Amino acid sequence: MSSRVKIAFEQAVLQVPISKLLPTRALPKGIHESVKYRRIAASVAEVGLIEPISVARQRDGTFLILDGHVRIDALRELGATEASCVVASDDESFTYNKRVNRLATIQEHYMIVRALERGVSEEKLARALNVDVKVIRARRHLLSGISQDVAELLKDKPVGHNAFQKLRKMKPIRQLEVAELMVSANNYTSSYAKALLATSKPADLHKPDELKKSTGLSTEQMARLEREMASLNDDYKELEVSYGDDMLVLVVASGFLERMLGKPSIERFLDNRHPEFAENFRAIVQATSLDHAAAA
Amino acid sequence: MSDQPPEIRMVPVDLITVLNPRVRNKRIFQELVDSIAHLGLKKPITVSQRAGRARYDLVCGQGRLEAFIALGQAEIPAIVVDASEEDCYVMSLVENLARRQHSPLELVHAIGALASRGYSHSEIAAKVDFSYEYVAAICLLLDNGEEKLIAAVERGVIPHTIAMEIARAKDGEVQKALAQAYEEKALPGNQVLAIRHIIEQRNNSGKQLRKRGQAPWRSRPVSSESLIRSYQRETERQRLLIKRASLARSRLLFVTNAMRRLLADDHFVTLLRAEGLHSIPQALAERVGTIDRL
Repeated sequence: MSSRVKIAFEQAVLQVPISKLLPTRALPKGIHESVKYRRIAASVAEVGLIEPISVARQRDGTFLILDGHVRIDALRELGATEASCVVASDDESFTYNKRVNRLATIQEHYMIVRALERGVSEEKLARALNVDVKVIRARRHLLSGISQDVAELLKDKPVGHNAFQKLRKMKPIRQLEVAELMVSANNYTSSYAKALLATSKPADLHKPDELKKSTGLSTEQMARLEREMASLNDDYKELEVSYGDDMLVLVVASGFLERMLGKPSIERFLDNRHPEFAENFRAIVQATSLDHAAAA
Repeated sequence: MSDQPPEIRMVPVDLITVLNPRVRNKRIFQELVDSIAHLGLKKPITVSQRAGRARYDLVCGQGRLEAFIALGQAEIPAIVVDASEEDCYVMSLVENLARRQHSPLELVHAIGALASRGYSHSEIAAKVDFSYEYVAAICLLLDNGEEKLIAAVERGVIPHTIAMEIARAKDGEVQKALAQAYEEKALPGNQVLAIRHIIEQRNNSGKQLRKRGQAPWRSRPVSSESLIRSYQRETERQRLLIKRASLARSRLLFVTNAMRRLLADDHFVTLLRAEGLHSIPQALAERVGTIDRL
């Protein structure tokens, strides 16, 4: 029924000397100090290459690295001389990383839980990922104290790990409210969660007294901020939706008005018959600039 | 894992068990399916088969496997290794977690790299399965150092066509480009604020992205003052927006009402026709309502 999907690589895994592999891009500066690099290097040392390096053949017998620059770098640092490679039939390197579907935080949690349930030890995982066992434990208990609705809502979102610490301090109703805010703002960072935690009513928290300590704000200060935010929020949400549309229609309209006023016959007609329209049209044409609107 | 090089075999998709499945973003998955349908599969998946067993356990490539199933394929090329179930779990976690996220800029540099190896825009478009226009836009943005615009395009905030217009436009022309795009329905109105924000930043602090100095995971401590300041900024921003929005709304209301009254006047309609202005922009016409008189 379906046509055969093209296989865009040679169907063999080659062992290629690392000296014959040429990079197609430079690694970002300072990458060796980053946590991600150390994690990738640790995984290469601990479990080896899981997927081969993707390369393209060059006429002179060398290969271009399409995907796997960091892993090759790590292998070289480890003193390896060869790497497993799959030879792609094309030499573009865009598709490999463009099509990565990032693992959402909650999915990571489920995967870790399942692995542990099937007998993988926390220590082994920690070693393979170059993290402290405590990190694995924290990931394992990511959803404890988090309401189910919230877990469902955020299941495929790139939520910051520490955001869950903040959510956990809230009662379920507030958790859901905050999760919805995060989704609508498309902001899943821990600092956003922290700000939302800070504006929660004491009654919405498990331990209201802790809040003051963590923000250093007095109850009165918090109450004032909260009132200010709340009164604005409703108007704002409604307007934010329509503003963009209004503004663009206005720009389009004012372009039309400008053309209208540019015709002497029409301008005369308006000035004589509807002077208040003419005057306002001119004012609107002059004031309506998206540049003004955004910079005001 | 093992020392002897593993082999690549065609493996029936219904013999593969996904040990540790995960839910994935549907939009990105659909893009993967389309990419595989057009460009083919770029690399094999990895499975494990233990001695004497017919079934395979997936090590990595859940997305590719599901894409193959979605495309009605019976078999998928797979690297077959012999690893314990425990090792499969570890490897699939490592494969998912020990991975670096590429910034939009790093991603599109792959397109720039093809251009600098001498491929034409249309050759590149065919290689990566994107439109010629997209490739041309990205190359122009790269050549002009428009990092902010590239980031916005890759995050889906600005359509690439409009980003290119913005890069080319002189000051003050940008709004025309936006308005035109809106009229041609290439740009939803609610995105305009986000786009304005990016252009503003670009004009104020240059085209380049802020260099990532410190490690992003080491968050700065939040002091009470900075917390208050950020609330006040947010409040102020919202207040300003509300003010501007109500101003825009009242002006628009005035224009639509005035146009409605004017269009009821035969004399005015005749004048418009005579001046060749009988086609009122669609967006305005919708707000005015009845304009079948023209």
